Order: sequence, then structure tokens, then C-alpha cells
Amino acid sequence: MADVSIDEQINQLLAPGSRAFFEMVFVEVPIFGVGVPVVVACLVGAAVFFTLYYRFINVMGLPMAVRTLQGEFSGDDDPGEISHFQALTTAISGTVGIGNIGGVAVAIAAGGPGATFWMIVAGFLGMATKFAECTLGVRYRTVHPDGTVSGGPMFYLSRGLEERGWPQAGRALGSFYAVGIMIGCLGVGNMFQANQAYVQMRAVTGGADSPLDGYGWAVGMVLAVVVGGVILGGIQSIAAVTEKLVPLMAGLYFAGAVTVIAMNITALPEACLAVLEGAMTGKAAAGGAIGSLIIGMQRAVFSNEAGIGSAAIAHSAVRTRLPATEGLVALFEPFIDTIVICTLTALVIGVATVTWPDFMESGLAGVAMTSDAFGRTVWWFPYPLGIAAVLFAVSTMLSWSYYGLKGWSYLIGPSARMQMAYKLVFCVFIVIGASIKLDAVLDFSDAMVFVLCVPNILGLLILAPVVREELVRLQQHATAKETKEAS
Amino acid sequence: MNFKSVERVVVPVDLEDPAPEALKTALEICTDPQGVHVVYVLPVLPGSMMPRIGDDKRIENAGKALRAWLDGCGAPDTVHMHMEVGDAAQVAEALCSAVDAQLVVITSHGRTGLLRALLGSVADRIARLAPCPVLLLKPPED
Repeated sequence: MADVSIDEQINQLLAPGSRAFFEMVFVEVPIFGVGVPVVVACLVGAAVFFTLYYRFINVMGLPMAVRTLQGEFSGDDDPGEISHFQALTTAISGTVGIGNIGGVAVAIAAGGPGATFWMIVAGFLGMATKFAECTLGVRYRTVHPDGTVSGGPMFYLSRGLEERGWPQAGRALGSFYAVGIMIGCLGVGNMFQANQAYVQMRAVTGGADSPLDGYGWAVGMVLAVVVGGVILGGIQSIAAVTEKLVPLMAGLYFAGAVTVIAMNITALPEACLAVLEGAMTGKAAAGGAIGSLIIGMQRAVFSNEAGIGSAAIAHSAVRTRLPATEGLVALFEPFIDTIVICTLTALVIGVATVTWPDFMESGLAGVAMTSDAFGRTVWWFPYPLGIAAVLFAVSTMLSWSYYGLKGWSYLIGPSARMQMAYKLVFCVFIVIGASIKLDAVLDFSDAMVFVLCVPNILGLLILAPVVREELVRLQQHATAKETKEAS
Repeated sequence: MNFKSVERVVVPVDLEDPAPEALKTALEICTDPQGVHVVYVLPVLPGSMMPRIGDDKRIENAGKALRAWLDGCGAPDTVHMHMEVGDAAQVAEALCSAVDAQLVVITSHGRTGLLRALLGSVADRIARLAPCPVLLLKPPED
């Protein structure tokens, strides 16, 4: 054991459990000879149902969503803490992250270029799911006596189902979700982020020759100190700086990706063709077209969080009396996250694959693959990408620590001592995440995310008529307002 | 102690789960309603990426909620209101010292089992830290 690094020891300890958990959650049923995970099929099926049931709100709702963002339907005196615009930017800070840079590369490596197409489709369908969960998040939230707000799936599951005459089922599902988000935030919102931030830092400092090689735990400790500074020490200034830097970094990433695509523009048609061809034929994908579809859909959910319910926790803090307004604003989230940013990453990898035939054989994975595509075009691009990756990771970890804490508070109340214990555990997992291999981290994160989808989607289906009722109420309000203004 | 001569009483309340018993008892015991100090302690919010309303605004909102609750309980306007952000036991202790309280009246949440083992009780901690006698009331039965 003497020549085995600390990183490797942590990995050997945790990887088998992580794999077993993954296999338990992603139980498969064979469809056309390909094993399809039941949980992914349910999620996609539900998103299709919501798209149809809300009459293509994904497209039809956008004009009213713009009006809502402009503040047309909400006032400063309405209950809630933040404006629609702030709620959207906060939620986007939580979702736009490593998943958009590294997750897309993971999808393409396993599902071929066609996975990109299915990610976009999943992003589109996910808009309807997100609309439903954020509308319910506001409708069933709790406004505390001091004006702060608690909301999210725990609340709409317990109260919504109680309204429907199933109080016990509601309480059980609400509590199950709260436990799930507490544990789940340690995967997608913590270990995956820490892991990919370390990978990118290692890549830009020399890869296998990097002085950071084998010191994931040390990078994890630095990240834990930064995140701990905010959540344990209440150093709000770190959060404030991160909050301002994340949109800037997202803008820079956007500009960088567009530059890479523009500089390899001749490869773009072939890259686009590979995406479409891959989607239909499953070329280069394990499990053919269906394999490509599953992987694309899976990674899309992982990135835009539609169906997980987590973003509803942030969106529920909005100032409004009309819950459907926030549902409409939330439509932009999967749109920006998946349809715009993930597609850009996919095209960056696509043009790199066409331009450099050895690109896919480099053995790189996740964020390192995207970074390689950037670096082959402009040698210094991986450096700002590295900074962006670390910032995205920190902002996502901060957002998710808040989600986890809300689950914790839902279960046991706002006890300061117990919250402190949870925050300490959160920081320890940052170190673990940076130390173990991507596969083990992904297995755990994926499985936890999809465990969360189960109670959430069930609740969204049962409460679908409530969402439609809220949408009608908003439409009537808008019509009355227009009539009043016209007269 | 002689309950007939208590002039200054501190009553910590939880507006998330308000029980009027402690307030009513304090008003009965205290020789003058002006000597009743009701305190509502707001939890410190964890650092996060969420923009949020500031503590000043939280205290202002809590003041309105506390006033409405006192009015609902039929408490006279002369009852003092205190709203602060912090740890409930420490804030109550500081207030007791500041107003030279002779008694604290508080209702226990009545948690039992695992939750109590994990969380302890706010009322227990207030009782331990308070510099004066504490009257701990049992929670009202459902």
C-alpha cells in the first residue's frame, strides 16, 4: 500500500459501493434489444406528457415569460424575497456549471455525437417539467414571519398531496425528497464539481506531469476551505464575488466556444451532420440509437436539473402572488443551460473531432476533453477555462449546499448546531470528490439525481391540474390587466 | 420566589409555532403589562449564493408579525417587543440582563425521542443560560 496515493486509497474504498448503488437505481428493461433504465424512461415520458398537457408551454409560454421578467405581473409589495430576474440568474448560476463543459464531453464519449441531439430534445422537453415544478414551488411555499421563504418539492409534495386527500403519502414523499436532496447534493452539487475542478486544474498544469497529480485531496481541501468560508463562516463576500463572476465566466465561455467553432468553421457542417446521423443511427454509441438517446437524456437532466426539483427551491423565493409567473420564467433555464450552452460545447467537441482525427483517441474524459478542444485551437484557452471551471464548481457547490440545507431544515427545523454538522459533512465530501476517479463520482451522482426524480415526478403528475389552474389564473389576470389598460 | 411581586418578565416566543400560554401566564403574573418583554429571535441565515432580504428588513417584517400576533392574543399595547437575529438562548440571556428580568416564561415544544436527542430543546438551553428563574410550561395538547 506504500506506493498507493491517498487519492487512490480513497477511490478503492468508495468505488465499489458507488457502482452497486448505480446499478440498483438504473434497473433496466430491454426495449428493441437495448437495456433502457426504467427511471430515465419515466422521466422522458413525464416530460413528453407535460409538454402536451400544458399545450407546448415550452414555446407558447415564452412571450409571457418575457413580460414577467420585465416585472409586468409582480409588484415590490408581493410576498417573497427576490425579483423574477434575480431568481432566474440565481437558478442559472446553480445549473450552468461543470455539467455544461464536462458533462457534454461525457455524453459524447459514451453516446457518440448523436447524444448531443438527444440532449437538445431533452432540454426542450425539460422546459415543461421545469415550468411545472417552479409553479408548484411558489404555490406551496412557506413565507416565514420575517419575510424569508422556504419552498421546493418537499413542500409541494406534502401540502399538494394533502390537498388531494393523501396527507400521509404527501408527508412520506416530502420527507423522502428532503432526505434525497440532502444526500444528492453531495453528488451532483458537490463531488462531481470538485472532481472536475481538480481535473481541469491538473490538466492545465501539465496533466500527468502536473505537480497537482495525485493531490486531488489537497485541491479538494482548498475548495472546501473556500466553500466552508461561505457556508460555515458566513463569509458572504465570497458568495457575492462568485455570484458576480459566474455570469462573466459564462459569457467568456460562450465567447470562447464561439471562437473555437469559428476558427474551425469548415468542420462545422460535418460536425452537425455527425450529430444528426448519430442521433438516428446511434453511430459510435454503445447501444446504438437508443443508447445514444439514453445517454443524451441522462446527461441533459444532470445538467439542467429539470425533473430533479432542486431549482424549485431557488425559484420559490420570488416576489409574486401568481405562481405560474415563476414557472414561465423558469422556462429559460433549460433553454439557456442545455439548448444554448450544452450545444455550444458539443459543437466545440464536434469540430475538434472533425479537424483532428486523433482527438477522440486522446483518452481524455469530461472537462479535460473540452479543454483539449479549446487548447488545440488557441493554446492559452484552457487557462481561462480552468478558472471558469473552478468558479462554476464553487458557485454550483454553494447553490447545492443551500438546497441540501433546506432539505435538512425541512426535516429537523432550523437548529443551528445540526445545520453546522451538515455543513461540515458537505465540506468533507468536497475533499472526497476531488480525490476519487470520475467514474465513481459519476455513478454516485447520477444515481442520487435520479432517485430524487422519483418522488418529484410522481408529485408533478398528481399535481398537474393545479399547475394548469395556476396558468389559467395568470392568463385571466393578464387579460383583465390588458382590458383595464385599454379602457 | 414571590410571584405576587414580579415586575419584569421575559417571554421568548416562536412565531412559526406560536403558543399563547406563556404570554398569558406572564401577563397574569406580572404586576404591570409594561414589565412584559416578548422576544422573537430570528435564526442566522447560512451564507449562500441566494440573494435575499437583509436582516433589517427581516426584523421589520418580524415586528409586524409579532404585533399582529400580540393583538390576536389580546395583549395590551404596552407589552414590549424585541426582535433580534441570533441564537435564541444567547439573545434571551442578554435581554434578561439588559432589562434585569426577574422571571422567564417559556413554552416547551414537547419534542420527544430521536429529534429531542439530536436537537435538544431551545427551552432547555434558555433555562440553562438564563440569569433568573425560568417557568417552563408544558406544550398545549392537540
